[in-house]
Amino acid sequence: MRVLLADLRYAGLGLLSRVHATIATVRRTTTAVLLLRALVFGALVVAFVVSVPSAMLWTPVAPAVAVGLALPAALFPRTRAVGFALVTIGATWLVTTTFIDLDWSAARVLGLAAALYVAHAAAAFAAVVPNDTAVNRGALLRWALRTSLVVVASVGLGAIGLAAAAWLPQAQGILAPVVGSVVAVGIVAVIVWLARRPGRVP
Amino acid sequence: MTSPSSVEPEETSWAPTRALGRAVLFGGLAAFAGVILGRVDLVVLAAPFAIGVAWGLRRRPARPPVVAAEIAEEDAAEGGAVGVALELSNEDPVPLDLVVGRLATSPWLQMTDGARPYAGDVAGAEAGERGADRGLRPAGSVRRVDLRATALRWGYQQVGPAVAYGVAGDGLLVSGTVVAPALTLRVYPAVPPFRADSAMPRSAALVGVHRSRRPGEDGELSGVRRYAPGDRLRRIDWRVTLRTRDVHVAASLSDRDAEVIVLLDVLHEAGVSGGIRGEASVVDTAVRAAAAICDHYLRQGDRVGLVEYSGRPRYLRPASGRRQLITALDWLLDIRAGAGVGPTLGLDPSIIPNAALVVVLTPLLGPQSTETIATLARAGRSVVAVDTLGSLGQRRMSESRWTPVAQRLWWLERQNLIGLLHEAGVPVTAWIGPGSLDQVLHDMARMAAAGRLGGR
Repeated sequence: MRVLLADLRYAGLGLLSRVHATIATVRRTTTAVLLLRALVFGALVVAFVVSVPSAMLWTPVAPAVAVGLALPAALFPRTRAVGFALVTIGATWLVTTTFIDLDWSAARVLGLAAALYVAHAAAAFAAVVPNDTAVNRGALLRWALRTSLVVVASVGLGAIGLAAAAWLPQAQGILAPVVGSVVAVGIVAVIVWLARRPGRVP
Repeated sequence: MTSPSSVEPEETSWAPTRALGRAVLFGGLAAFAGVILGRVDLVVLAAPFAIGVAWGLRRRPARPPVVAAEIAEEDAAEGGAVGVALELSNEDPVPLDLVVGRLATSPWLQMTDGARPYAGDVAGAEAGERGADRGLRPAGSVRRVDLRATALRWGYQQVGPAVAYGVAGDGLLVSGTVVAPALTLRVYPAVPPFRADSAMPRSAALVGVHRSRRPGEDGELSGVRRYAPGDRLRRIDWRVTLRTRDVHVAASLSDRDAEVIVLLDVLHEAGVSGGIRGEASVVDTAVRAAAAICDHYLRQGDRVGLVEYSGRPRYLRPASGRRQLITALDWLLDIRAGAGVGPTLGLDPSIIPNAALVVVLTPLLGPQSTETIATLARAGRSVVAVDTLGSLGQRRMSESRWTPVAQRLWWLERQNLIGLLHEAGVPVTAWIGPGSLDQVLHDMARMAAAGRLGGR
């Protein structure tokens, strides 16, 4: 009994020290890192809200799923949680627009694309800085500028593509494969480049 | 100023991050689904990822960043501020989105805003690709992070190693870690205020500030005596001469300097050092007291030497002057607490000059220390033991119900040892800073004078 009590005491002390260490880690977290992780969380929640039809948003499951996808990605941006959230939200969009909400608007798809990319970019940035890093303000601003440029360019091109598809409904069957193939070729090129380079994925 | 340290980064390459894999995976899946299903919206979803990857990888750096650590001064005083810098530079023409650097420091160097990583973007090297084509090494752009640290404890403190890695392509590429070796900062012990009376049991050379028992000129007045051949006329005491109708002169004692040997007993460590702002351990007290004693006597023009009594005994020959003070402070930085094992052959008293005053800084925690002090006293040296244990010995411990009893027994035994040292003619005094040695030095000087008179 005494041994058990001693073990429990040591276990309690160990747990307490872990709690103290976690509190110390949270306290040392800098504003810049907190901002990036909040951006990951917010962008993923927005993406989920956009990807789901409005009728389904008011069910009790939807907020739980949104938080369940966004929170792990924001807390652990170095893990696969971010990729899982992106793919899940993309799949949700595909399923809902295929079977439930067939009449989706261009604004929704452009908003979804922007939100997903912002979440991805913020997670990429958050993943490379430890939580207690003092980040130079200029570096943050320049990153925000570059991300905004990519978003604006993508939204612009996407809007043009969607408008072209809307004006020429008969061309939609050709437009998607052509543009998609261009994107696919680019991605294959990146994969080939990656395969030729020795390196690691941290 | 210490020159920055750096490492050649050629060995380290750039690698894709998980974010690049994620972008390729999501973009590829969305584009593939768009092509298969003929859905433009899925291609639109893939577009920002494709554009982001293309934009990020359009210019890829070949060289990782270079990191360097720098300290403003090579030495500092305990409790003093130290300027430390972390330099992150880029020798590649491609600008880096971020260079994340961290400077590890000794726990006894407290960084002003906490030891944390620093990240900032660094522009591309100025010489650019054209310079590199001509065989010129590009002049790297530098981001410098100036930091302040407070030296909390004496000794050799490490600044570094500094580590850094670069991030490029909007977080899609990360470089390997580059490391700059650590620099060493000498932190001299704080010199607590200390003064001691000029009384010395023995003096040595012909010059100095301590009054000796030998007659001489320009020293302290010792009395008035009849004129003798050889006395200078200016020393005639006219008042006494007129009163007695016989020529009298003022007699004085000569001033001499002294030789002080500070013996640091660091066989044992007791207490936990809290640095300059916390509690002092036994070794801390010994080192700071030794620094104070050296400082005091060397400023008076005396000769001071040092002896480390530990498993690896060391000896600093007595000398005088400011250079000796610096040498002594440097010598003190190498003091390490022993494991309770003394020198194999003991301490040879013959290394200590006969006329020297030996100040033993000891916690009196073991019989070896007491035996050494007694040996020195028996060898005819003037020995003063300074107790460096302080209040640590009276701290109550509560491990078990027998601990207070054991502690009481140990304390009585220690008091007994101190009593034995007193009987052997070794005064024991506690280290209290200024005036710690006054009373014992007075007593010893009186005893030395009495011994000489009795001998006559």
